Amino acid sequence: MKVLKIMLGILSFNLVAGIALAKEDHHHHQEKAATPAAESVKPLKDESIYNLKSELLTVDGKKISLESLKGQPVVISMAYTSCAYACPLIISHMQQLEKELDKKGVRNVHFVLVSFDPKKDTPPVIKKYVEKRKLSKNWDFYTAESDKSPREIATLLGIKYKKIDEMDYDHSFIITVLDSEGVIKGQQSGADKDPKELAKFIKN
Amino acid sequence: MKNPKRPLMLAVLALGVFMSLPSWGNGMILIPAGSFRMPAFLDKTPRKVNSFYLDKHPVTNAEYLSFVEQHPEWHKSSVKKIFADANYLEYWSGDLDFDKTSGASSPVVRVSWYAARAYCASLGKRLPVIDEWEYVGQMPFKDKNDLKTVILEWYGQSSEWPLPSVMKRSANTAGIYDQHGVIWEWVEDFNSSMVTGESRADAALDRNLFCGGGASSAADPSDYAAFMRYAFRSSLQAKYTVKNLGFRCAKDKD
Repeated sequence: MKVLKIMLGILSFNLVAGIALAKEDHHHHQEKAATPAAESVKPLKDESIYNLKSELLTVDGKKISLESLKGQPVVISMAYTSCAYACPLIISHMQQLEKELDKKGVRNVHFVLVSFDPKKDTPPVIKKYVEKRKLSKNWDFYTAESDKSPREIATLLGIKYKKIDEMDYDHSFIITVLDSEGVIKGQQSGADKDPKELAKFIKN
Repeated sequence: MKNPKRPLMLAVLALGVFMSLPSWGNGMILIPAGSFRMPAFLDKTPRKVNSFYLDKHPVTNAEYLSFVEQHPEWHKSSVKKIFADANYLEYWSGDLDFDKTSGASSPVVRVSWYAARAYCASLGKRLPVIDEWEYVGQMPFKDKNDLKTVILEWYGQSSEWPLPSVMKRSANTAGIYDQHGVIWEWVEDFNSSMVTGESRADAALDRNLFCGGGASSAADPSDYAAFMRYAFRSSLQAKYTVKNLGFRCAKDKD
């Protein structure tokens, strides 16, 4: 811990120095300020799922890296939009957790869904779904260009899934809490659990 | 992703290396499109498989060594814990040195799913999916050896070590070697067999997998063998490494 604090100290010193040097360059200054130095410089922990170089697509079709989720706690699961039973339940569990955290004053948490079904869940399809389900601004429902990224993210979250026909997937019901560095802090599997219990894995 | 040209350069480089070294010798075979019947405990309806390329034999120690030479992040001393368990390449004596007793042309084992995938990607390939693997795996041998007998005999044996060289047995009718009888192999969607009943859907699949498997084993021994494979896959996690689990790569036709 001590070493970490010293490292952070050095990093923040560098940031200050960096801003001082970049004073003349307004744009550069803004960029620097927008990216906390600790996030951009500190190497990922070995246990971080962000070591995975997966690429995802936002609802606007923008490509992002899994690693870009770094910087705040994340509550993550997988779903697909044509899913009739389990996925709405997973989302509702995550929303209950969101409410619970909100009550406790924890508001910096990112709620993330990744689609199993990148073929049918195109960015516009997901955008519509997100609006319909009234997911808050703390949410992102990502898709991907192919099955590759969902498959590898699933392996790290311990989620199993299988396409059973054109419409449906069999899949695990697992919600995972990641810390701001992408390390798994807690998981809950099964629709019979109380999602509020996951709040203990998120530090304010 | 800071340098968008880098993956392309690497791909071109990998392709160049691959084409200039035909002595690597793991030729791929074009598998014709077709369909196969899933083992009875899963789904009896025939499943269609598109034409694709498959490595003639499992990836060997020598081939894997060439890969880790180019990709230090997959050295046994530097691999990240989330991508491979502590026994990754356990039998290799060093980062760039496999156990001589197991031989350059023996299949590489003790590799995780992530490692296997990275290897294939470095050559512009991918892992086969279960359907592709099972489709080819049901093709009969070229010689008169009965597939079922070979498989069940192997499943009944304690595993052999050091592993024999690849391509010592008969190829199947497509010209593919060693799918049965030497090692188990990773597939891209190994985590699509459910065993931990986390949802109602899982539970239903569990029943199909276990009860169905048990029931059908008496009637059709090849189903029993397939059941063993599906159960084994479903017991895996992507970072696991196992002493008789290796892999081979596939590639889309186009």
